[in-house]
Amino acid sequence: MIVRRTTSIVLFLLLSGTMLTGCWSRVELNELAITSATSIDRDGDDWIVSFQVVIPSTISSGIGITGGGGGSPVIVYSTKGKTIREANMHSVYESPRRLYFAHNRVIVISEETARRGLNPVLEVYLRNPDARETVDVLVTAGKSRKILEQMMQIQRIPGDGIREINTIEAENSSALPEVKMYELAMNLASDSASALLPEIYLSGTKETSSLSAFENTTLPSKLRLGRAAVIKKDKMVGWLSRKDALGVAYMRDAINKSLVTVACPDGSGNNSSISIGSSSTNQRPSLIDGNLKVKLEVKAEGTLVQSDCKSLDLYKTDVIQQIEKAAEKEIASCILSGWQSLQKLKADAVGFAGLAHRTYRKEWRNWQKDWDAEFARIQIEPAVSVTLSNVGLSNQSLNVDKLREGKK
Amino acid sequence: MKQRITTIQGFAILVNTIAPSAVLQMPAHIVSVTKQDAWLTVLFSMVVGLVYAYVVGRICLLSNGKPLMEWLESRFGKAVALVIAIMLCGYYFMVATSVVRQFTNYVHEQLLNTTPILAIALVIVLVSVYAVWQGIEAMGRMHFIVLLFGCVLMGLNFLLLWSYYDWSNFLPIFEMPPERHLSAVLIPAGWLSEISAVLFLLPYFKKNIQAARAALWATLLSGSMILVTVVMIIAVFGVKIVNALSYPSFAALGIVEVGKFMERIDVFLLTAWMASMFAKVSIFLFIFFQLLSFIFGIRKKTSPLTALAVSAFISASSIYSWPRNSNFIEYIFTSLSAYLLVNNYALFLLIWGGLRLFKKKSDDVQGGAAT
Repeated sequence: MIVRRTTSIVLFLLLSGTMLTGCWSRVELNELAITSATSIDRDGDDWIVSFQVVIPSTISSGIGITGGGGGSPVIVYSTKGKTIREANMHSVYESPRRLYFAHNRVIVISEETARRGLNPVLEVYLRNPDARETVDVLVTAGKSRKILEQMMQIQRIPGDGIREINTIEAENSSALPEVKMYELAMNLASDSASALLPEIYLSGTKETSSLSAFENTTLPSKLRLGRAAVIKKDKMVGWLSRKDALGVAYMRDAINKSLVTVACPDGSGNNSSISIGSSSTNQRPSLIDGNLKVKLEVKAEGTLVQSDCKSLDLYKTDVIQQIEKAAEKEIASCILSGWQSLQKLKADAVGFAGLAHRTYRKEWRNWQKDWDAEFARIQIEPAVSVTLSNVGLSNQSLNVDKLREGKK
Repeated sequence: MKQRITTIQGFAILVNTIAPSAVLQMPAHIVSVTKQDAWLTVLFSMVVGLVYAYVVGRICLLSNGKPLMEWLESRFGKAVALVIAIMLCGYYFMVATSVVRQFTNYVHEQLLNTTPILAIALVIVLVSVYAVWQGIEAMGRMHFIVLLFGCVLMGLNFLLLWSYYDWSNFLPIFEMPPERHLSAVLIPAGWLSEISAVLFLLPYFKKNIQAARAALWATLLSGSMILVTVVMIIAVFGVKIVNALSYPSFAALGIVEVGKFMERIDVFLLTAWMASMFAKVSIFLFIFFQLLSFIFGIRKKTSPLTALAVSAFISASSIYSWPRNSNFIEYIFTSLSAYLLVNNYALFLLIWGGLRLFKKKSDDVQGGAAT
């Protein structure tokens, strides 16, 4: 009896085990084409999707961009289809491996695609579990495939490098936001229905798509971040300059770190640079004649990182205050410039619609019917306060002539 | 020797009876109706659930310590007890079937895309049947471990998401009219009513008061888990995009990145959630087998063949009852929710009324009943 029972249990467990292997959904590494970046272009009504696929054997050996061997660390190819997923599927006609998107770091969208509408892109990324919604989204003027073909200095996998550039810029300059796919969807689905995306472009003469370019110390072209694309209701409506984008970042309270360069108070024509270590913006709305007015109280704290002024005693409070005032003026100028550009584009990338909804519920019911008209009537009042908490390791602008003469 | 469970084990079983599937799809549904005020809806439903748990606790205190159906038979007679058993058996079969389908859908859509859903459903049911086969004591221990694991990971995930929270997403407060809350409350209140499962665990508690306490605390914790999930997804995603996501609670965790070396940490919570889904299916099957044994007068322990047959039947029903997932989603937010309300609120309130109307027999009094 015991033997029979034990045999039944063992048989049962063994049979159950056959179902736990996941053999239908198994994934073998050597069957996957690991995609590090994707780009999307339009050709008429068709979609062209390009993939930057990592070649594991090349990146796993040696050092340097070429991995010690002669091959490229990535390969780029494109497929075409009536939908993005159809284009993806067409990759099976040319790729010996199945595309795998879990390590896809960035998606580069051409300006034409962005201007025609991003809903299909959002749809694909939010529907399918293999496409991660944490991918960084960037826009490029012209064809996006060329961005994927570009090799990078230092970073072996270009897709990874583009993401790193985007992250480092957002952390240190804050002018261009790092926008993930789910954040883009959230911004466009919000009351303001607008978002900013960073631009990536090729600077230089010709594309560095050949490894031979790495035999030189200077590359003929490189990938750089440029302006900010303004998206409204899933369509791109224009560009913001980097200065305007920084102003918008101040308005949105999206500054991590930044740098402000101001003219010297001594009228020498030289400049000083202040590294903004922290900044916070308080949006204070009020109603003026039934229209929204927003006071933007920016409080920033920074460190003087360079002063080319002729003679400044940085231990004097009035000198520091002069520099602070100049920085405040510069930040306010960025804010006003960014605001004017947004009003011109009728895109509420600051998120004032959400502020209006939260603060003036009754008025919001009317405003939301034609938010564009109300947005055009909004007035802003920047009130910037900069505290220069640190002047670095020197109390004066370094001038060797004065030091030699013993003057202060 | 009669098997026993402690109050905490009973509490764990009851939380696992409600929470695992409730945190999966319900938050998105509530947010779609009452937007940023969804947390208020959950609080209202918790009040309704606690009142119901109190009533169920009162029924527990009236028990004579015998299994529910035998107790009802002794009070209402065989015919009435049989009718109640058939109704409840149908109910627990349908709920078990839909829970298996819900679980299967998630695993199929998110993890095992190419594995046939029948295979997934079969594994889920077989594991759960195996848990039932081990008896209520083993289930009690298993449920406790699963709940502990789940709570720790849920707390951890809540904290890891802290930097992603935007508390202004909850503004403006009180924007939704009361009628929206009323319609939204029905579904979570219906799911919280699954607390009535405690009546089938009554004979395994030492004292009836333990069951009543477990029911109240389990309703409180289950409601709190739904509340935390709702708060989490609103704080992360706002209210607009949540409508477009099938599983916003897991999608929220999917965006967490710790430095440059760790991402998709939702897999940890997913592990705990999958364990709790096995636990949930096991408790519904446990009750289903109890009712089946009563209806057919089976006194012995269920044979392996019967268990396998029931497993196959439930797996097949869960897969083939709804040809499309859209049919299933429509079913859980319409028919099933209504069925939960009718079966749990109406039927058990009738039973409670009946128990108070029909006089106790002298041999019904159990030592713990009056405590």
